[in-house]
Amino acid sequence: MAQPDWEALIDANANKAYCFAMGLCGKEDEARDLVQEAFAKAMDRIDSHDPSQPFEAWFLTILKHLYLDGMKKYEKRFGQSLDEPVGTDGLTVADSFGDDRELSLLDRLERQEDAKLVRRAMRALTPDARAVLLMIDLQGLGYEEAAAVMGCPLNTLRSRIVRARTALKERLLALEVSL
Amino acid sequence: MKEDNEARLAKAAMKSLLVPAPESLKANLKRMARNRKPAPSVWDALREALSGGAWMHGAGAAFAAAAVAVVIVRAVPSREAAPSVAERPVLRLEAAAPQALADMWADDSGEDNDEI
Repeated sequence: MAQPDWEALIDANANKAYCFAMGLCGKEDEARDLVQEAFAKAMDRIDSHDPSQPFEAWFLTILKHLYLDGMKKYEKRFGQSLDEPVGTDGLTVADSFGDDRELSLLDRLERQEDAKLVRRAMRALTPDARAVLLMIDLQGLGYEEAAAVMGCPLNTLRSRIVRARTALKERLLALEVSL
Repeated sequence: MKEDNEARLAKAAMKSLLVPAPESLKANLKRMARNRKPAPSVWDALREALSGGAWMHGAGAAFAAAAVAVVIVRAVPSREAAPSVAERPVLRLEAAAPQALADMWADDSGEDNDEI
């Protein structure tokens, strides 16, 4: 199979890949390593990519698998889950938070003042929840494409994104209280 | 309605994560892509040469025509190569041979002195 124009693919996908990796890892150096490793693997396995399918979804699948594999290795080695919530404030945010607090948070987020807060909230979510949020709400992937990346049925994906959004909101509100 | 708000909130939250990839990372990735590009094999180079563009077909036709012309020219005997010059003395010798032989045996009377 002829090699694609990798430099063009890097130009088109590096930013999205880096955002995705940053959303998953939360750390710049880890995100860099993850993106590099994912591109190296994509270059090795380009023969398995169906050219009629978008490169982006295929590439994000590789990146997500690499991240999950890395987490499993870490847990095996250190006996500690990277999914454990950080800090003492759990996910037990009461649904009693009023709509006004939610709207104020939304307002702040829309003014993009809270990247740190969002990163912390993301770290408390499961990797699958993070991946689904990043693909749909950041990368703008369609549900079908995201389902293909996650390797799950469309309906499962729909329920996962609803649960992930709820978890993110609850986490953000909880972190705001603890600040 | 609750779902709409959550979707809006999630989208706003994700937007705050938008960061461009560092230029050094992009440069590294491109370097990696260049280093991994396989060197073209001899067969690939030959295949590429044979499947050239229109100008290659023209050059091929000219080469073939030249080869046919050489074959034809070599197949027709040239005048310079005719054996006339080389063979004439031989023919002359052959023609002279009967006379020489006649002289040789003319004085042979069958005696012993004939051989001296």
